[in-house]
Amino acid sequence: MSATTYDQLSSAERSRIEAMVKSQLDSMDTANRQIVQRTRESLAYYVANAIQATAAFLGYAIALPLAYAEMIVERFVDGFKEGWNAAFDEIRRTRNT
Amino acid sequence: MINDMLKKIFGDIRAENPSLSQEEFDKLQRAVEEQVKKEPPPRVAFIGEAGVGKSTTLNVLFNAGQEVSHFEACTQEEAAFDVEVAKGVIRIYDMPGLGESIEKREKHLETYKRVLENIDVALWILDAQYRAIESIQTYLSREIKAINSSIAERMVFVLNKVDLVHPADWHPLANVPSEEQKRNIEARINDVKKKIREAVPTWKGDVIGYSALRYYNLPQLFLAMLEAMPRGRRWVLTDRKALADFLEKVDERVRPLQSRPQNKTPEEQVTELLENMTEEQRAGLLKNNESVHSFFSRLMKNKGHKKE
Repeated sequence: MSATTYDQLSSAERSRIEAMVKSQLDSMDTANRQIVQRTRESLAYYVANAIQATAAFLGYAIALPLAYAEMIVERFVDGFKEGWNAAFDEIRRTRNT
Repeated sequence: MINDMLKKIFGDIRAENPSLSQEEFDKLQRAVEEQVKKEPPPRVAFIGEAGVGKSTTLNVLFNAGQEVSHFEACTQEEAAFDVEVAKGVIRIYDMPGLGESIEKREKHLETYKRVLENIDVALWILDAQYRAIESIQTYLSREIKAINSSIAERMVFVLNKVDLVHPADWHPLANVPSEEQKRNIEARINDVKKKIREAVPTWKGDVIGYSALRYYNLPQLFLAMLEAMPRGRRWVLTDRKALADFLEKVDERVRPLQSRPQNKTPEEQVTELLENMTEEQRAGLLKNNESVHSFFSRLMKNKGHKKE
């Protein structure tokens, strides 16, 4: 669409196009906020694990904020589930060969 | 972003441990920061036929610039290489195409087994225009499941070139699909999702439609990659994130008011830039004159301007 064509657009049409852009930007903003949240959670999880391991190595007792401690508990639960599923995958594969 | 988050996390942990001496806590913090610095770069597999847009996608997600103008076309085995992007290094695995021949199948299966078990996320790029997903579906159901069904959960299926989906009447001013295009893109996405779930019933992921060339839906694509990654590794990918700016492809006259160029003087623009920097960035910038030059050169490069 040329500059001339844009100038010929009605104000209603211009508003409609601006709304399309805004809608896309809103969708991107939502995704960007979730990126920040996932990143924050990921880093907290990483640091919580690292600091616990390092503290244990150095002989210090360290307490984690509740939210971080909960993430580590989840890791054990997820790890257990993953191991359980992997074991059943193996059994199924052995049966099928 | 990562440094600011780290500061907050250490602050939280410090507050939870008032009885720990400052020296002891500093020792812990230094050890963890060292670990953060040494964390291996993100390992991303790009899967897709030649011409589907792998190198363009890499560029618009991480600003690889001229480092990767095109992927090495390699159908024999995977090409693995470290790419220097704007914010660090990413290890890229360019995976061989699918369905080439029955003879190559065994070799490809070995390749997939070797690579997919050691990556953080696999990006399977399809051309949104073409409907031939049947061969991929067969491959998924047989071969990938034979390796490890959890690998399929680490895959992100994406449809590039949505701007070319019928009737290919992408809005030139707004840089978004027309209404009819939007409906057809949604239909394609749902079709691909259905076929993947038929192949891998435990797959819980999403299919993202985007356009690398139009910078369209890049945050949504990046988010899908993050969600498919192991939790403790997501921050490593975000540390390299440098998404191309969607608004660059939107006509200035239809951008939201606050994002339109406001004809600021160079001094006003630099002042605004300095005000929006973190303390650490400012400290780094003021360290010496060479830092100032490097900083602005890097900034200009990221914005697509030529270096002077």
